[in-house]
Amino acid sequence: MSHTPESPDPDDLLLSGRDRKGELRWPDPGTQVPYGRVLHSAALLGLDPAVLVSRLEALGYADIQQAGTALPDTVRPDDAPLVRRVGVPDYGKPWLDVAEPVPLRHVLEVGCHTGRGPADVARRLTALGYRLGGDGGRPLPESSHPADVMLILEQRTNYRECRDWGDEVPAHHVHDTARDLSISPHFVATRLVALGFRLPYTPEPGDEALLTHRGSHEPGHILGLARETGRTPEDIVGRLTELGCGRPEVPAPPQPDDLVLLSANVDGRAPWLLRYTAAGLLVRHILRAALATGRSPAEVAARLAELGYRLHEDANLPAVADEADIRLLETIDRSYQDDVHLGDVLRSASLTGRSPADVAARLTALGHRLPDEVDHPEVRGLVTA
Amino acid sequence: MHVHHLAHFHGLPTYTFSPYTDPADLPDPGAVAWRFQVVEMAYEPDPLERAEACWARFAETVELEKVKALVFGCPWYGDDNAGLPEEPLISLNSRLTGLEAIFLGDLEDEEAMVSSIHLGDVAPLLEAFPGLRELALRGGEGLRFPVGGHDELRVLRVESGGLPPEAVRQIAAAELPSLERLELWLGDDHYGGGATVEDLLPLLSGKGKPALRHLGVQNSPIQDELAAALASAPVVPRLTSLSLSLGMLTDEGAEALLHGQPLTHLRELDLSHHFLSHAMMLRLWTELEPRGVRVDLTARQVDDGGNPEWGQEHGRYIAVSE
Repeated sequence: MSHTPESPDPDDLLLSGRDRKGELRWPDPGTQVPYGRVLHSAALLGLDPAVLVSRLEALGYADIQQAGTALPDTVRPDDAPLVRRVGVPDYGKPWLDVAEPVPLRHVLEVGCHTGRGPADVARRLTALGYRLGGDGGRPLPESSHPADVMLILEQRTNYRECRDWGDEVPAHHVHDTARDLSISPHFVATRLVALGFRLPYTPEPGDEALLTHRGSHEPGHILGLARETGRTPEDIVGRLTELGCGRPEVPAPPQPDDLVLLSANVDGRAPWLLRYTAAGLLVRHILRAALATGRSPAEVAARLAELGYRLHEDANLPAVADEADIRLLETIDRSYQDDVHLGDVLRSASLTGRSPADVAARLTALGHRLPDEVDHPEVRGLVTA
Repeated sequence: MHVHHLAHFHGLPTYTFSPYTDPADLPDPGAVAWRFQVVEMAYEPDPLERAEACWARFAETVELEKVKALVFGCPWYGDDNAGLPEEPLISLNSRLTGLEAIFLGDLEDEEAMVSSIHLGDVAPLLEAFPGLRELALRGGEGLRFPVGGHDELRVLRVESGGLPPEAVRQIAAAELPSLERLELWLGDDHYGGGATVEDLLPLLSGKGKPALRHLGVQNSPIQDELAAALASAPVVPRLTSLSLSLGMLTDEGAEALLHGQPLTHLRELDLSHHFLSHAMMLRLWTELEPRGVRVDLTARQVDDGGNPEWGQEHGRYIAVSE
């Protein structure tokens, strides 16, 4: 088809310069035209792919990539984004390569960008001549989820590395992803299975309660779950291990007050006391637990030691729990690893209404180190807590 | 001292919104301070697109009319002034009818140096939300504050390692008739700070802020000069609490305070992070606490004399600079 310079075919102008969106320049006739580019332009120009190929050949494009199967008879405008790689700039390789299996990532990215479900995208790409990766065993979900691409990233800090069709996913990936994206671990697990990934376990709805961001290993968490679910601690620990939460220890056989001792607020409920903290067990917690249970501070400390909690060697537990001691210790944000300085003593005196001398003496008796050589005043502040 | 992501704001626990959370699992809109942060990923083609999608998802899944507090981290705020192409808040001001508090720049040290977090002109934001009660800013680079002020703002807080003197003058001169609490971290002139007592004179004179009850002029190398100025400042008698924390306060500044106008009407005097001697600490405490002033003297720092080879005359430092 020839046209005079005064009345060029508009499509030829587009083909010889930029596409309808004005974004891309066609390669020189001596270079290969990617298959994806053919479909993309045909979709935008409203041409049958075979007609576009004829036009290209007439314009001198001799090397047009083929799929190995027949060209689709027709393409639709909404096919255009399917064959364009998401986020790849013009100077890269923006066209989906028909010579390679379509990565799962592309299916999910395009689905999220176009609002089409992964199954629909996969079906259409196949109809357009592409072949998918994987073994085609499990059908993809019909609807997309905004987190789909994020779910298959190996790490949420690197967009490049992601998992592909049918990969086996380690258990920790599920709760790492759930934590990073603030979504249900059970949802992550079931969605990954739906996307064709293999997990080392079969997701169960009961897993939701077992997996928390912090505390999955803590005795309080395990014993609390045992109480709520009726499962044994051994069974819970076994499931946590399957779920990739390391190998938690089975707590010592429970005693009636354990959940009170193990709860941060001595109320028998989460949040649970954490074992491996730099400060170790806090004396004020022991005293509060002693008052709540009627046990002596020494008995509480001994029981917590059996459950794996460490009390600093400098701590000097009083024989009897006292509200005044609890109040005093609540005003000090120093552990036994730190020194208590004059400013801390004065602040505690301010908040408790005790004299600095009294505060210093009591903290020393409880095992804290007060290295500042000062005469703490006997005077009290006027304001009490 | 390191700044951290907020755990609480405007009396509410913060909740970092995720666009992937099932809407049924989201908290009550008015029960949390909604926090927005999208961590950039290496090789991500368009990180701002994900931030825009996050905000759009929030706007379509949460009852905006019930939202009371919002906190913005990266990439809305950062050190490269990239931000988003459109102001995420102002365009929704007709729906955020219950918004009471905003925090801009909730970044930690690993994300950006405090002094380099770009804030820009907050006048459009204040104009868009005439009912706003609390505005908190972390950063300082490029900050501009409208001297015309705001009628309803009750709390204004600026956390900075280097607050531009021009911004300090604007805030000091601003008409804020409802303002009850003002905290300014003035910062170091090496990081964009350098405000002087003179820059604060309208504030110290008590003008433009008749409801002010808590004043913090903090985190400054000139803490002694500030203390001396406050010793006779007309604003002090109407305050109930005063903070000179986080700076290089020495015995000289404390002496000026004690010799100045009475402070016994104060309920709280915060001098934490200081370079006071033990003797001065005890003197402050014994003179003020029995009279009802709660004095915070924690976080005493030690002046190690500095390094003369580097031209340092002393070894004192503010709590938050870089």
